[in-house]
Amino acid sequence: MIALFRKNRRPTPAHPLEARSKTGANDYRGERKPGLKCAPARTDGVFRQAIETGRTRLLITGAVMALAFAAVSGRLVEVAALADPHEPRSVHAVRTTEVQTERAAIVDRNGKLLATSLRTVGLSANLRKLLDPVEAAEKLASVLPELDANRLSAKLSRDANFAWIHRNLTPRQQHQINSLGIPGLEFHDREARVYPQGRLLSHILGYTDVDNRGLSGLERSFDEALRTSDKPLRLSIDLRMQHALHEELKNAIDEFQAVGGAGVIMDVKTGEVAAMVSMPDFDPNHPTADPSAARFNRATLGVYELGSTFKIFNTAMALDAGTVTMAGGYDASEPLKISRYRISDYHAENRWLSVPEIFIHSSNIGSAKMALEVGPAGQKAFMQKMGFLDRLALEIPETGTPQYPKTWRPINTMTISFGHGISVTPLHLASGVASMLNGGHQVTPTLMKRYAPVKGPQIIKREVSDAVRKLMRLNTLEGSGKNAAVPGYLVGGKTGTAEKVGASGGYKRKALISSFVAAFPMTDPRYVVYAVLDEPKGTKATFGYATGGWVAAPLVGRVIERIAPMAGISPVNPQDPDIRHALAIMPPKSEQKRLASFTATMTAAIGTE
Amino acid sequence: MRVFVMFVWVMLFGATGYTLFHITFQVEMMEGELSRLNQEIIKEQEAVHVLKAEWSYLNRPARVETLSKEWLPMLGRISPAQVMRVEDLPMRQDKDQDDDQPSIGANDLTAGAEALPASLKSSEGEMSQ
Repeated sequence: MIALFRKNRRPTPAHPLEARSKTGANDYRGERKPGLKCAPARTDGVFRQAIETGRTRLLITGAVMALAFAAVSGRLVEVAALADPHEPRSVHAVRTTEVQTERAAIVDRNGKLLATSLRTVGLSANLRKLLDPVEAAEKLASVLPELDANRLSAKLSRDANFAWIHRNLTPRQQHQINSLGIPGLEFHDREARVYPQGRLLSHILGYTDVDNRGLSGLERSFDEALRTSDKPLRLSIDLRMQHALHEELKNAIDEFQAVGGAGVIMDVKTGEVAAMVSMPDFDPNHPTADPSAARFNRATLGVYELGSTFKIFNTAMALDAGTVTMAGGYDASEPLKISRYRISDYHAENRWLSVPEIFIHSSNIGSAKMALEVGPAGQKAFMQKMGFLDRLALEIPETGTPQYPKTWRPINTMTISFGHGISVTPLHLASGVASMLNGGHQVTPTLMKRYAPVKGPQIIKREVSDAVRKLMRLNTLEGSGKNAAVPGYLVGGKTGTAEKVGASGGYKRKALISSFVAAFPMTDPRYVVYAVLDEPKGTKATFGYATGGWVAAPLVGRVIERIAPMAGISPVNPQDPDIRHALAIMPPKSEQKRLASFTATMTAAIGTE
Repeated sequence: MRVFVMFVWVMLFGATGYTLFHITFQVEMMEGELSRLNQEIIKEQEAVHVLKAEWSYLNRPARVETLSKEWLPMLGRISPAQVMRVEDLPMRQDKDQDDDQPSIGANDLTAGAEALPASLKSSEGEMSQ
């Protein structure tokens, strides 16, 4: 700029700035001197001084300006190219790999989707802006056939600001409603809870209300966690096992016209519930479509007298207390009479029975005597250890509290020995059996995936646990559980048939709770499978019997046949000498006389002698 | 010389200005592109989310079973006799070594035994879910 200024002025010789010219400033001055009228020396000095001052000022100004410009350009470069942007950038790349929903998904142990939230559109009306409610209702009903025009117009004519019309519109319906062009209608982005598996897990998952608040099952107990977490909730349930149990239980209920049923598959080592079914069930997508009785969870909330399956615990209790050994036994030749009660056997043998015989013939008399030797206090303490006197601890809110006598008298001890007089949930029983079979450690059931086996406190001795395994195995070979046998999987089990308490208080002969509990493979149990049917009726195929051995045992056998390959359990040869040895029960050596029939049975059953 | 210096300055200013605006516009354009892509990604993710639910719905065990009954009637329920471990498969035998051994498939096994070959130890190991 300074250069430009100088250049322009150059052709004007008289200008003071000419003095700065390099071409002999003095010479010019000398020539011009005569032309000036005033005193040259003084004028010259004043001019020069003025020029110098001007130049200096100009220079300083120029320098300051240049500096300022330099600063501005420097800053420009810094901001544009070098410095980090201090302002947040307006756009960022999306980083989420999953869609953010208000409610996290629920998946099974293998990651299969069980419950998720989907975006949908809700339709509401702003009643103040709605011009003609009747016309609007008619138009809407033509697009949404599930709505009744009269009821809708009544709803829209109310004196209010706001009314929901529909909560889940399909995109097509939304488009159609949009093209109706009714003023005052509003669309809302909503989320709908969807259960792709339908009825399969109804009682486990529970359901939510229209505002996606959990109302039952895991949806309720994990309501807060599901809202705040992005990660799906991983359950212990194996969808395939759940399906196998669900289907077989449903078939059995249909076949025997039972009013309901429940089933549990539990991992013996971890306590994980791999499958849990309660029938009748409901569709959590439409929870109110089924009668409310269908929402009752028989597997965890319903408490039942579960009958002879309790003989597993009774025998374990007596063996653990040491009041009897596997070689011992009791006289079951005559029914027991105590005050006005009479205890008799369903499959009466009317003779002295050894402990294994009491188990496989399901002798009530023998079991009652066995329990009496332990005593009411010991039995109560044992039941307490098993958790049969406490409310079931599980993740869902629908858990039942057992019913048991307040004063534990000898008669109670006797009936409880064969599963009457104490009511527990089917899941109580399944976890109790698991505790008996895993070496005697208490099993706490869970619906959440566990990654490592959990070893609870020891309830019974390891040897007693081994004995129980052998007894249960013997029962499917020779006893009441034959119908549950599956070749190759070494199933062991126990039947249970209890009469339901009628309205008048007494037991009803015809209304039964028939159940079967099994575990496999008995050499090292992995899964407990329990099924219970409520009021089954006998069929021709079962010769009219509706007992556990006839209705529940075959069902459990079919379930085991289906789930064993899923669990990666390969079939073995039950005739293998190692296996026979591992599961053999040695018949008592003494008392040979009384045991003639017993020895014959044992020899036939296990062939080790 | 001055003209040249002037020229250089002008060019520099011009180039700087051009580059600056060019970069600004480019950044703006790319940000627009980014937000478009972001929206597209979110849309796709939502579609995937819905499809996952649908996939899960279509793969309900009950439905798969019905389909299998209809289209794969030869695959009935697996009986334990059909389950074997790889270790239990008979190994191929070289002819020159074992001429006296029976060939595969010719084993005259007793009834019921052919299906259950695994040893007792099988229930101990490999229980992976």
